[in-house]
Amino acid sequence: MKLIGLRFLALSSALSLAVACSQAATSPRYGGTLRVELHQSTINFDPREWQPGTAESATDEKLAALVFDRLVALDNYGRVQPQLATEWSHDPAFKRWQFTIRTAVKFSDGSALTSADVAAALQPLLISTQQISASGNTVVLQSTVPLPDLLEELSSGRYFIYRPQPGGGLLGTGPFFVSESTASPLDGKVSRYKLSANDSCWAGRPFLDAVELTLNVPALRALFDLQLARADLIELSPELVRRATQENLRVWTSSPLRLFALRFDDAQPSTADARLREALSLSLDRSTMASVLLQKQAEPAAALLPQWLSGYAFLFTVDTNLNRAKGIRAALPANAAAAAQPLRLRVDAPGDIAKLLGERVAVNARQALLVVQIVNRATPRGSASDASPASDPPAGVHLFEWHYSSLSPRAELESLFSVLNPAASLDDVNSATTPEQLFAIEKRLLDERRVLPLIALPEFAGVGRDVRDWMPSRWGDWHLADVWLDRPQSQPESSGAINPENSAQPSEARSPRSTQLAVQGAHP
Amino acid sequence: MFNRQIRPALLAFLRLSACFFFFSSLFFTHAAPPADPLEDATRALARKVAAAVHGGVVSLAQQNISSLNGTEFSHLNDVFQEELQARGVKISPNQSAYKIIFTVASGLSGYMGVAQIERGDTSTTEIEPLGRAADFSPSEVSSGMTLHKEFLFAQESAISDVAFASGGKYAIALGRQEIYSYDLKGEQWQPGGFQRLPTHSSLSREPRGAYYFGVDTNAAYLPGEFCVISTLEHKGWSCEPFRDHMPVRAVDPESLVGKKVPWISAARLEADGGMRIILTGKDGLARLYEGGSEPVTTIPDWGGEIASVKSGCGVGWQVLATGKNDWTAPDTIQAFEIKDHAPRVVSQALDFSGPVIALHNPSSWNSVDRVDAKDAVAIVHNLQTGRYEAYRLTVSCAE
Repeated sequence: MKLIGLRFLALSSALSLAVACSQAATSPRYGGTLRVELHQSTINFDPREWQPGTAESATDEKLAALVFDRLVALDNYGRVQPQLATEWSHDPAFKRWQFTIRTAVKFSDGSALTSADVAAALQPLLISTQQISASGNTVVLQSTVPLPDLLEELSSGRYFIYRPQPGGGLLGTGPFFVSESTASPLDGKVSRYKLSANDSCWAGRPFLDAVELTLNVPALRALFDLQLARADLIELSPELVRRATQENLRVWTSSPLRLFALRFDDAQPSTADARLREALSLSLDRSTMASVLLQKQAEPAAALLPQWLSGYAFLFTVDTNLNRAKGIRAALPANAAAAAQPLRLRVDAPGDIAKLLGERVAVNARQALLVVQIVNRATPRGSASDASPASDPPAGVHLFEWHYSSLSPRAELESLFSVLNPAASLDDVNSATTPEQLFAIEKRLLDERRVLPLIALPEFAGVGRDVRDWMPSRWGDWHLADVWLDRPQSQPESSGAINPENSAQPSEARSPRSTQLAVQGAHP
Repeated sequence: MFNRQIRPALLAFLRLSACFFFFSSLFFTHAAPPADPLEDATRALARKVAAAVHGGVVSLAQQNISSLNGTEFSHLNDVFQEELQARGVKISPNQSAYKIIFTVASGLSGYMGVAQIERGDTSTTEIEPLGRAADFSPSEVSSGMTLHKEFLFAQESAISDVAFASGGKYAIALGRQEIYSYDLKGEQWQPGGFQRLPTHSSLSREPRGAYYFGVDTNAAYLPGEFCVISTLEHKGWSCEPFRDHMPVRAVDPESLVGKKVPWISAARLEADGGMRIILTGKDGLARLYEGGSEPVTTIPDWGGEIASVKSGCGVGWQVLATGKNDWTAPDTIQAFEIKDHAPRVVSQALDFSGPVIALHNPSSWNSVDRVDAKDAVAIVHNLQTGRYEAYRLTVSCAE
């Protein structure tokens, strides 16, 4: 076939079509605004300010993925895929990693992404043993310890690439950019964001024209809005999952992403006795917590990391053995966890689930003749940390919630350990390079019973009937850039010009750069 | 007109193979065939266990809590035992000093082999990441007129089109911005290599494309881009913006003139005594044209992807059409005949392990005249493995 023949083919096919060509109903369609309703009252797009493990940072991360990219990503099958980095290599010791940065990538304001941007974005997010430098179109990350799981780490959590703006906001290269934010007349806080499609996104323009985020929506109202088609995507509270299912709404469930657990305070003499911790552990009926309290939406947890992440969680088992718990209790000093000196349990995690779990722990403990007094007190950020004022009576045990974030088991364990016991050395976790080593570290902590996992809970979302190609990752990334809406709407390709299926440049007359906002951190 | 331009080039077809393979050797990076990582890692785990038990007598229990099927797990268990015995470990349920529990679990990074070694009250654990499963090649499914699917090959990267050359012994899989070569060796398609196309525009989220083999020029159409290579000039690929509708290999561009409905997929076939065009539209309807610009009928039940096959069965031609799901659900393909302007089901529906993201007539020189479309190629995104699979579809007549 001669080139002239091919050109004729192209020309002929162009002349044959006077209107834009797009997809059939079973193939993606461009246009429309996805309406998302969230419980959270504020959003912070700045990854430098996120606190690992918190509910807020989990939502922030999910939304930041709409605006920013990472160097690499894991696909839904756990395979590393190039994003802003197109190639990577490492030395035999896994201490020096080199990444080649994708060319012709632009921030949403049209400026080019450089390797210096990448290095500047990542450096504040790295720990002190890691340094990153830029040269040409590559960046080099140097670590004093081996990092065989660096790709998993960089493909998750806060490792987004952004460019700080002089005014304090951040620019991204992702599929959307923040084009509008609306403050609530009540408190002046931003209550609604509009994220518009980034037409020049290197990975292709998203199918949606925009994503509209409404914050601070109560769970039940969000459910009604989904039923009435006033919302397309909502965060679904676990207690509403059964109801949503019964009403034939589309419910999506992730892998377990939230851990509820008890943490003993090492500084409190009331919990120093290992036998007390063992008695309490043996009294806990996790199966009832998962099946009754959480209406089978949760699963009992025996490990800190979930099976889907570590691969070895099945090796941990916990049994309820009330008789043995009573036996141990009987051998304890009479005043330990007794009515005169009850064991104070503070519920650090916010929300009704944590409160219910705290009460169930107290009931279980009482069956083993241990007296547990509940202190409900949620900490707004850093849920696993002790943030009680000095005036509060000390609590010997805390009920905390942890949201998994990293796709590197080592990094997740390190993050969890650093919050559970900030004073402890993390060297052994940092230097762990094999699943065996990580298992040993986790086992050691659990054998000491300083942390008692209770239940693991997935995330839930209610998905509107018009939402197509909803293919989130099982670890919670929504992948909204690939979602499209199957409902009548004004055609973005309505300019009348010939505009084929080139998704990168739909022809809607629009200038995102004229209206875009640099993303600002919004949490206090 | 297009065919008249192409037809003289057929005389030079014999040049194609030599040129193309020369071109292949210049531009492709060849890949080595993959090893079986699960088996190797299972042996490594067994060696760890053998070292831990010092060649003693062990009893062995096993459990599979992974997504491996029974046969696959059983094979790994056999490998595990074989390696233990090769290392001097005797497996006996009685009089064993150690109890070994061999488990295959799944984690984010793939399968994990775990051996729990128990002796008395003490227990140690050996863990070995096994990696991911090797390629799974689904067997042919067949069930009046029968629609058959034949698995060709699969790869992790997206495929938008598959085209054949060298008498069907060489194939190109077109990706989002790259091409992958495959060679037919015996009955197996072996990966050859890949090459990135020097595209200028951003990636598209739609895996759409079309690849054309020419005599001395090959071309790739991607969303917004048209790439071409001359195998005579050895200058490599060059790409330029392309804002028009992608051509459909089995349909003359002239026959699409005047069809104003936005369409995604097209098929040309003989029905009711003449050549007909069917287009699947953005509105979810397929439209049948008899030559004019207005359809003579609409078909509401088909999905977005169609292709025609001349099997010689029934009325001679069939249309293959996908189902109505979006890309989150497994799809089906079914064969239809057009009679009296209406589609009629003539085959069973073939199930696939994921959405059918493209359905094309393959580009072979036998089909250039658009009369000899004996088969079609379906590209499926397997939702279990995440891999993109290519299948050849044929229709056989009733016994």
